[in-house]
Amino acid sequence: MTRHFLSTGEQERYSEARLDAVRALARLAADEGCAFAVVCGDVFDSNLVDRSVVVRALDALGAFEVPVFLLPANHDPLNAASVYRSRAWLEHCPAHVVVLESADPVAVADVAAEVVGAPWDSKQPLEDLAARACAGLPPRPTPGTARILVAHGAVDTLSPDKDEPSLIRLVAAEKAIADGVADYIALGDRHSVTQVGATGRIWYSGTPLVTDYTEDAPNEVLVVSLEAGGRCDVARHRVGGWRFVRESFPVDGAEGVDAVQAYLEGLPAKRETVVKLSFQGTVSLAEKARLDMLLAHYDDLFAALETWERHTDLVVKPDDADLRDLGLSGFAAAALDDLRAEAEAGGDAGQTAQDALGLLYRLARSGA
Amino acid sequence: MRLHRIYLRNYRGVEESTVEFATTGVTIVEGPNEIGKTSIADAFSLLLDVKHDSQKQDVKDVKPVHADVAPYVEAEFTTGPYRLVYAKQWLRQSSAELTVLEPVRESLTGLPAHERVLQILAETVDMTLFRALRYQQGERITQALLSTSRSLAAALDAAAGGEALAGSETDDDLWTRVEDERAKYVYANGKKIAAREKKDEELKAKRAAAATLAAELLALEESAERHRTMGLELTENARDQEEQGKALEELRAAAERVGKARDKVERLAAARQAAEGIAREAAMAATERERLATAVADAERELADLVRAAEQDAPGLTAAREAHAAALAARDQARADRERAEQAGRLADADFEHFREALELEQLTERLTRVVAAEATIDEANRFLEACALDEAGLAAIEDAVLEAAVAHARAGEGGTAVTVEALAPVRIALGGERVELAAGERLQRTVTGDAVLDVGDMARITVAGQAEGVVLGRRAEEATGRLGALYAAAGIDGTAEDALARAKALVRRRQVEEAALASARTALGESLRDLTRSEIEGKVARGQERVATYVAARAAAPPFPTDREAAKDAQAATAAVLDAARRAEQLRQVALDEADAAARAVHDSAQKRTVRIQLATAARDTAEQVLRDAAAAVPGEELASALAAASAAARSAAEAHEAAVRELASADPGSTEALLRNTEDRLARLRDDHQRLLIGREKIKAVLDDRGQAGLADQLDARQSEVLRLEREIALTDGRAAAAELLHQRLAARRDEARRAYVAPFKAQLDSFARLVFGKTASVEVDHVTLEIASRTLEGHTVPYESLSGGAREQLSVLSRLACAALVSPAGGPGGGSGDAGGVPVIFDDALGYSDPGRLARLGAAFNVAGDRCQVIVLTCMPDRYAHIGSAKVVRLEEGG
Repeated sequence: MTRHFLSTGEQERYSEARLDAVRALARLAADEGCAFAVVCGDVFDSNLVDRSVVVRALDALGAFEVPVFLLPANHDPLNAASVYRSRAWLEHCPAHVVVLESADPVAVADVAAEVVGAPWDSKQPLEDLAARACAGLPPRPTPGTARILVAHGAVDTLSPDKDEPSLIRLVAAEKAIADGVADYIALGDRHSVTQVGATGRIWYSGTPLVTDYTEDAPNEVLVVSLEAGGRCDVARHRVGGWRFVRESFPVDGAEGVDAVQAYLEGLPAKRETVVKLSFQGTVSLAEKARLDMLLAHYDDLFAALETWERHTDLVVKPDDADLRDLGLSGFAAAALDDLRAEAEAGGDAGQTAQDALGLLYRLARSGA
Repeated sequence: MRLHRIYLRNYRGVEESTVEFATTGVTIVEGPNEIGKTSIADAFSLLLDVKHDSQKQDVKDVKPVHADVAPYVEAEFTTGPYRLVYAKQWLRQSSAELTVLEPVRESLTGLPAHERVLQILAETVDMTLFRALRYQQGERITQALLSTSRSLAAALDAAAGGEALAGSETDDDLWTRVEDERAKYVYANGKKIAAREKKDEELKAKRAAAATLAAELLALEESAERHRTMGLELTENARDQEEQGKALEELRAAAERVGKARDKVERLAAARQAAEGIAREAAMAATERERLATAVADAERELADLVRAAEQDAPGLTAAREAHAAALAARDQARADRERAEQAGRLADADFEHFREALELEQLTERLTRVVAAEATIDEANRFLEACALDEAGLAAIEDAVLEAAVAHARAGEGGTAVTVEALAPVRIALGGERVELAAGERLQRTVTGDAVLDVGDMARITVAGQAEGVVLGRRAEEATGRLGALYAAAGIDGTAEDALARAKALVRRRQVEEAALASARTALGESLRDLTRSEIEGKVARGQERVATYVAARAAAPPFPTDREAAKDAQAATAAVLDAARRAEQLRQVALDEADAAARAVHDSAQKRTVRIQLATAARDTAEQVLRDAAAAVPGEELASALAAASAAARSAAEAHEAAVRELASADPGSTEALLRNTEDRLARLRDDHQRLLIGREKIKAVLDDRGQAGLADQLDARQSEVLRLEREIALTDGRAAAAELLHQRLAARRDEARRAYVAPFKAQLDSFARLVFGKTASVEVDHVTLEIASRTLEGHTVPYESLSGGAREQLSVLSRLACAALVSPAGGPGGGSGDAGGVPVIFDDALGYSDPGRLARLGAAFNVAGDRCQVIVLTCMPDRYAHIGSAKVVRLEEGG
């Protein structure tokens, strides 16, 4: 998964962190005595990934000591280009890693459980694949066999687009639980851990490593304790170590700049943290220069430090102290006055004038 | 800075020399060439600029040529708050010594001394301006390079009104930094720098690469989706094939039933066709028989019509033939008439020709007669003229001689002796040369001149002695008489005759007559001969006479021979008229004949054709009759009728059976059955094709996906898109910085330009005041606000660009601009104010004003004097007169030997 705001080196670290999250999952499964693991879709961003991505993923999955069931979903549908049918996959896939290629129940070795997948064979399915998977299911091999449905996609109650045909109908899903068709429905798609409906048996497990600023509870996985027709306990566990944080600062005067500095300084694990900041307010040339220096400094410390331009409205207004600092006279002072007037205008031209003031400030001081 | 004193030793040609300058006003250092004036200014620069241990060529150049000695320079000067004594010796025993006298005393030697001086200078003086203001000997007249002078800028700022608009030193440094910053992004002309252009190209290439990858990725994903849908299509295809297979079975059974019904229809159709064929043939045989009978009747009718027509046309044919014969006879008659008329005409022409020739012969004969007569007259006249010795001139001579003799004799008579002889008896007398027979009683009276001898017969000789004059006159008279006698003799006239003169006159008249006759005869001869000779005329006459005679002899008796030419002419005209009439008549007859001939021929042809048609019609009628007879012999008419009836009945029966079978077939709807069958067959074929196509298509897609699907395109695209975004961010950042730099540059440049324009005003004002002093009260100058050079001078409202001014004016202006500058940068209140100095520099002129006339020099002196109130002015010159007008100048005279 590529994050464009990461530099090449940081991106490599982030990609490695994703694989680390898989290994952490494996450790967690072992620690918690899990019988098996399911991944509810989008194991890969695309079917057309590089061979190295495939074999590294398989290598990480190799860390599991229990079966792992993978569901092809919208990013990696089970079509003719499927990564799960690529040579690299077929040649290097460990025996305990199983791709859910159909809705046929797959028995889990050594435990009384079977896994039913609702795999995507296209990026735009025209039906509720979870409902379809449930429709044609044979009876359980034994009454005590737990059945887990693994599906992917948006649930209709959480989706703004109610007409999307591929939505998972919550009513149907809950009915499947109620009718005993499945004991638990593991969902993928949302990157935030989310319980769906009221049964306590339908969950989005989120993402093991944060991918965006918008995710509510990233970096987590769920450990589900289940008995066929019996209890169902769901526990959240943290596995991912990166953070994507977004913050907005009112910056008026030196105190505002101080606050920005304090905030950045206070953020832990800076190398694994991506920060996006926006600023609003009015600053002097000196303050703006300081803020710029501050950001440049922390940009080197964090995995990435972005300015959220869309939400930034920072006006640069030279104050008396600026002018004193600069000690400009003659034509330079006159030009400074011109730029100050232009900077007041706002808009792109005003922004350029503010930048010019900043530059003037820097150049004038560099000669002092 | 102010120079107080400079001391040189072993410097170029100067062994040793000290010059002390007035710190106030103008110092004029004067001396002859090569005394070392220029060295004073050079030496000060060398002292400031070149380290004492330098081996540079500049140093070696100042060493005296012929002595191995070390150049030494020492100067005392004030700059800012400092007053220094600074000395250096180069090459041998080199040294540098600095003594700061004020404000705090300090002494340094060697390199520290040099560096301390540089530090003091950097702190206190604008060396750029110092160098710019120096006016060097021998250099071209150039304006001082003032634009880089900070002192001038500062002074102009101050002079512009105290508000420092022009920018401080800091500002100018800032300007440089802004220019440097801008140069990171754009060239001087505003074009983006190559590195930035390269970024655009790089971005374009990366975007293109990303777009290509994205397109391929999308295509692959579409292919995968297509592969899936093709799988669905294959399933559907198999189902369709099965359905269509069953339908095909049913349709084939129905088709077999239709086939049988169709066979029956075809069989009965053939039987019907055969029966109807027989019936048709019977009907045709009957019809043919009727047609033969009709043909015989038609042939008969046509033959009869033709014969009747031939009979009706016969009289017309005869009449035409008769008319043609009559017309032929009439034409032949007319032709004979015409031939006779032609013959008569030819005879009339011959007769007329005869008369014409006879007339011509008559005229020729007459000409010949005239020729003969003229030739006779000419002969006769020629003969007389050849014999006649007197002409009109000769007659005139005779008449003159007669008059002369008469006059001579008359004079002799007056001077001579009158002799009268009266014959008493017949006697011969000879007096002088005259011999006279005198009858008795006859008297002879003569006047003799001179002595005269009178012989009287044989009897007496009487001598008369004449008087002397008389003798002379007498002799002249004799001579005149002698000449007259000779003239007569020449003319063949007896001079002694009494009528000798009359004869002479008659002879001349005859001669005139004969000459006229000769001319007339010649004219007549020419007119008669014309282009012929007499023998040719005679020949023509002879031949004409022969022809005329021959024609008359040979001519036929009838018609009668015309009496004369007129009659012949009339006869000719008459015969011509007759011939003309005969020809016209013949033509008319010929036309009539042609018409009759054509008419007869037409009638004849028509008859001929009809005859042929009758023959043909007869043959046709005979043939038709024969055919009919043959047919009847073969099959009699009754048999034909009964066969026709039987065949018609059989045909009707076959037709009914066939139509019943057709109705039966139609009821089975063969068209729909066949169409459905064919369609189902086609559909199955198409389904199989589709199946094959889908299989192949899927295989192809799979092959592509297997090949490209594992190439990691998604990762490549991600990487490319990251690069694009990074580059876009970088470019946006750079462009933002560039825009800021550009805007800052623009605003600074505009204000800087504005400031320069403002602060050039005091410089111009100072310069204008000097210009008015030198050039007059209307003078002013225009100063370039960037270079601070004089752009033009205006005098009496007339503006001339600096470069177009005379050498003198340019030199004066360049001197004035230096003075103005020096005056401006020096502190107000003059050089004498205070112990230090505030940034002013001395202005040094080395032998300037070589181009200026005495009038201007006087005014320039005033300008120097005014400038001297504000700044230190040092003039080095070998022509002290040029600067004699500077009122308050201190003069230092350099002498040989220092």
